[in-house]
Amino acid sequence: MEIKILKNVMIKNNAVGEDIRRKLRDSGVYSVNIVSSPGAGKTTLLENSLKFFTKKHRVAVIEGDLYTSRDAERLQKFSIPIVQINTEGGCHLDARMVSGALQELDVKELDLIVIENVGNLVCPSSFDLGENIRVLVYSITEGEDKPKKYATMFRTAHAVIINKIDLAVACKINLNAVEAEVKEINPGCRIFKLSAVDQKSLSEWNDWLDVKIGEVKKNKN
Amino acid sequence: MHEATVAKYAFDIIKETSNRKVTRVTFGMGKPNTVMQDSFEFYFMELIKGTNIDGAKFVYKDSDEEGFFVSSIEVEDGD
Repeated sequence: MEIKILKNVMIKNNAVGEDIRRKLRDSGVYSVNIVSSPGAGKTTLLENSLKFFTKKHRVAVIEGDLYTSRDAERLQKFSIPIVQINTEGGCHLDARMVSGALQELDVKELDLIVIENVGNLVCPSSFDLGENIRVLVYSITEGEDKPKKYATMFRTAHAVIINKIDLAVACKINLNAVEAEVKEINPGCRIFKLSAVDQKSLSEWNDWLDVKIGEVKKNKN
Repeated sequence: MHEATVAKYAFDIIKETSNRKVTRVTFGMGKPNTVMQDSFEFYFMELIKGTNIDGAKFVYKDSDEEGFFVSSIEVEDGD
């Protein structure tokens, strides 16, 4: 006897992701899932963006890492809640892990939750973490051929940060060509070109995200 | 690597569908699906050892829909 099922295997993860999104929305909390390959600059971006966001909003960070707490340690200077998730070799965070991490946070006392995913330019694209937006940090030092090679990551991002643009000349990268390729893959995504170590170059990104946080925050009871 | 997680999800979906002896599982391979078939099967085979899915034949069918699916299972007829 044949039994039709027709279920996407991600259905279980996505159901938990939807629960998280509902819970955070009801609490007036905006959530961002930051993804990239290893070394693209996720933590550096956070280090410099949090200088701006922690002045305006109540922020918590969920840090995904294979084995260490190195990234979390870099963010301790902000004195904000940080929950470390070690995947013990796992190549991505999933919604269940994030749900567990949220148990350790007083969500009602927050405005923004940033989830720094495990550095990987393939697997995290498949896992909804209950975020409002997925932000891909793409370092141009990885080479300008990466968007089409890792198209799923680029296609599933709401925003793409083209990082380390100060190294474009040294790496012989044509930034316009890179941007055009990202747009070709994902016409609807917002693109920022910046260098995460340069505070001034972050203002457009910070302001854009600030508006989004504010829209959710104003619905707080 | 994420195939291990995908294999567990697929296993859970089948277990929840039937506890009868499963003789065939048909998977839908969408475009794109981000799942390597060999790697998925490696983990899936480990999970099904000693269960009602052990010994089932696997069939992979292309699908135009994005993602990786458990499309159907064939089970032995019960009473």
